Amino acid sequence: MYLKIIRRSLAKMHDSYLIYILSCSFAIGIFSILISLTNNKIMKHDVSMWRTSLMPIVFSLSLVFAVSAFIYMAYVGGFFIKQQRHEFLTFQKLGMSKITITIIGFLQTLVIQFLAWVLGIIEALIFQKFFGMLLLYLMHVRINFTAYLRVNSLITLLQIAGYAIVAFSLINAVRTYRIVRNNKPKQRKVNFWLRIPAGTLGIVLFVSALAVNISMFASFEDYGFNGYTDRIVIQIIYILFGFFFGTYLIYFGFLPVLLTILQKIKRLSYSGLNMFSFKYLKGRLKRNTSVLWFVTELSAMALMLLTVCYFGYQLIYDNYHSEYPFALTANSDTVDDVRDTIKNSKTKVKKEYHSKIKTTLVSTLDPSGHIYVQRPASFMSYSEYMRLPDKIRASNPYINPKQFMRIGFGNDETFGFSDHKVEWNVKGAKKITTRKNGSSFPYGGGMFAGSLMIVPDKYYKNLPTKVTDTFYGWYFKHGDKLSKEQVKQLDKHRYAYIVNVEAKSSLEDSTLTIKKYNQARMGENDYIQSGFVRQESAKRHLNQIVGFFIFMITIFSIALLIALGSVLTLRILLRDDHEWRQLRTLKKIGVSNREIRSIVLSENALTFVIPIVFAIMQAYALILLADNGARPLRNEFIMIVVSYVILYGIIGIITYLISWRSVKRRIN
Amino acid sequence: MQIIVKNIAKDYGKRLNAVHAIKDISLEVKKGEFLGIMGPSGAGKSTLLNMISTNERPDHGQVIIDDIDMTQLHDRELARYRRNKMGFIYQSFELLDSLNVKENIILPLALNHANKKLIESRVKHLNYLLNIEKLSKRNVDDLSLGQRQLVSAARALINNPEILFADEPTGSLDSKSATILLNYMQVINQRENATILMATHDAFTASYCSRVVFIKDGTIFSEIVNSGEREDFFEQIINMQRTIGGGSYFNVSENN
Ligand SMILES: Nc1ncnc2c1ncn2[C@@H]1O[C@H](COP(=O)(O)OP(=O)(O)OP(=O)(O)O)[C@@H](O)[C@H]1O
Ligand SMILES: [Mg+2]
Repeated sequence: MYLKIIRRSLAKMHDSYLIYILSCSFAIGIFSILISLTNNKIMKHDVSMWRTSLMPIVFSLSLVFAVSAFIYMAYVGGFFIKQQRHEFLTFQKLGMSKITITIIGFLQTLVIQFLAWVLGIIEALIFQKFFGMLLLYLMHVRINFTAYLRVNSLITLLQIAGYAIVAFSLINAVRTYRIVRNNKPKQRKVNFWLRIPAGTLGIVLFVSALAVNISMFASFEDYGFNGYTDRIVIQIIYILFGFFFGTYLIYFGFLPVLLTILQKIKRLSYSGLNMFSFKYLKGRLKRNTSVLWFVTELSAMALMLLTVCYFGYQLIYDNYHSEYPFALTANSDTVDDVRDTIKNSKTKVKKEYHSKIKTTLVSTLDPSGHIYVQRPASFMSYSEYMRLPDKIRASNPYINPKQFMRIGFGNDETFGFSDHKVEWNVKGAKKITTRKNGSSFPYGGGMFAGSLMIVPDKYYKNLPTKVTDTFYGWYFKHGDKLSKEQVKQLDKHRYAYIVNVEAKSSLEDSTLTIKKYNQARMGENDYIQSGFVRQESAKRHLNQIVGFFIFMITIFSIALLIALGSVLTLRILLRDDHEWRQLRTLKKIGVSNREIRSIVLSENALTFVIPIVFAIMQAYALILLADNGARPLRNEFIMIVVSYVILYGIIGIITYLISWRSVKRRIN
Repeated sequence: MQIIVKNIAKDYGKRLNAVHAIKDISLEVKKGEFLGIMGPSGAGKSTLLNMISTNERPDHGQVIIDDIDMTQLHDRELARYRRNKMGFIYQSFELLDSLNVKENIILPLALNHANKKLIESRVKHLNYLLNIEKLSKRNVDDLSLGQRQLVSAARALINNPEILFADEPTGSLDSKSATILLNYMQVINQRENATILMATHDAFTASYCSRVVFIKDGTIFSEIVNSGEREDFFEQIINMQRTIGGGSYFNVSENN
């Protein structure tokens, strides 16, 4: 008997069940893949970021993913129970006990969930090889991805599956019970007059948040960004608040009121189907307010995250290019060995260059701006700097022979602080104050113990220091062709020597000495001078990390998109009996299929277009904030929005087709 | 002939437990005729009306109205034809509960993009005639069955249909409202030469018709033509009902 009822309802609503099962199994599939990646040998040992392992990231991402997937599945699971409200109530009227009906709800969900998990795990088994290969391909790692779901991850997965199936079924049982307990739907009739002030407030909040945002952006452009002052923090809080609640109030108040007004204008509403469709859409809108809001805010968040992630990826890429504007470098100790190695390989040298540098002690304010620290720093004369290949100087600001320019680490320059004031007290020489800041090290950041200062020739000549060196750099055609063996040989010269700082209270008393490199006896005041820097190895790491980010971003955005899309889809497909009856009645009094289709279409458009428009507006405004002038995020944003809109549009169109198909089936 | 029905048949359900709602019915209706369709419950009256009114397509046969084969028309032309020329009073009313009474009534005119003045004057006229002015702003859900029936009649009549399909139009009405509605139907039938097809159980209602066909188990059983004398016609109908059998009120009372 139960089975029969369940089978019938499965057959009746196969469209929505199918969507549910597919989207759940998709979530489960991705989750399984993430779990299998966490346990994968290659991911554990062979692939690492510059310093840390990628494992914690994968792990925390799968945790985030699991939590969101759980919420999503629990939420979406409720649709089926809601959809069967009427039937459950009829069962009750026919004398079935509440417990029996609750058990039916429970068993139904159990079946569906079971199917979803089976499908999801199968999906994972099929696709994990593919995803693993994709990941490694994106990371430019040339190892074969040995894909298999290890026994212990499979067991974890099955355990999770078991718990999840029971949990979701219980949740739905509770939902079923609540339907049969108080069999009148809670008719929360919101007074129309409440919607008018609410809608007005919503518009005011949203528009004012937008205005504050734009004015903030404008002031950044005029005066520059001076850190997060209290005022700015308050403004940002206001903006977030305004967008968040403004959007809800607009959905709750403004849009229904707008439709009501349209409906009151007889010239509009007395023409064609408008009279019906305005009211129908209003009813749908009122019932879906929270879902639309939820989707809007999540989409806005997703858009911002994606843009920032993409921006971060670009940043890494740019940093890499400014840190490695060469193929191979060496210092005076290692130049002969390096040159021999190059000669013995098939590498074609395009250009070789060198420059003299001096190293001495400087004291500068540490980043907190309160304590002076003494560090070694390198100096290069203006004329040596100008002799360097143009390519190296290209991303640094222009200087004249009388100016100083600091070339430093850190991302502050990239964020547009290029006229950040730098003050250096130099041992035995004049204090340097400059606002010129570059980021492109002529021989790569790795070759310098600290920052590099480009100084006028005269200053360089008079700089008293015992520590001098000459750096050499090469460009190659098509990268270097060093063999593994040669790289191993070269690695012996990785560390040329150590610069030891003995700091005294006065800079002039402090000393700087050169020592032989000895790993065992490295002290806190020892700075390593690299013997050579090779671009190829950095390139590998870069490719790995970039590939990894692309992979994660893609998976996450696709998952999010599908989740949000399916929520909307289910929402559209979920029609009450009385809504069905209305559509059928329309057909009976002479409304053509085409006109009914146009109602379905505008319903779809309303559900999909409104959230995406509001999400883009919010995301754009906040992106403006993150983008304080120096590097416009706009292009990245546009690219991401366009792809988002396209994917969203595809989901919207599919939903429309499914929705129309099911309507057509029922009205004819 | 305005309506020609040729050998139509309609089955419901799948092969094993199929219901032959209409088996083989042919029928001709002249323009301006007031045709009654009678028969016991489940005889296929509503199904026949639905098929003639092109609401459902027959499995076999043709329905030709004004020399157009309705079974061949596309959905869009059909919809246009239906709302320009036809009016429907359904047995289950088929009102839209999201709209109020007035909006329900004017919907057919609005669908035709009629101008506002015409809409207002028509709705006023019908409200007055059927005595439902007071309901105008009410919600359909709150109406009594009889009130709903009047509203659905008003909606069917608002665009002066050439052909009116009425399925049990007086089933839920008190005798006064029923008489008013029937009189009005007679008026449009006689003055505006509208064709009316009406299904009913009720001999009194049927006595307004110019001809009544009796159907039973999906086929035409017999047919009576109104000679002009209302009383005689009424008697004839009751006799025929008795012959057919089936749960008519008059049948039961006469047997007692
Ligand atoms: N949509 C449907 N699906 C299945 N069977 C149907 C459907 N509509 C009608 N029937 C069946 O077709 C037969 C004729 O039904 P119909 O509604 O035409 O009878 P009727 O003469 O109008 O009866 P009543 O006097 O009760 O209105 C009945 O046996 C009915 O059960
Ligand atoms: Mg009937």
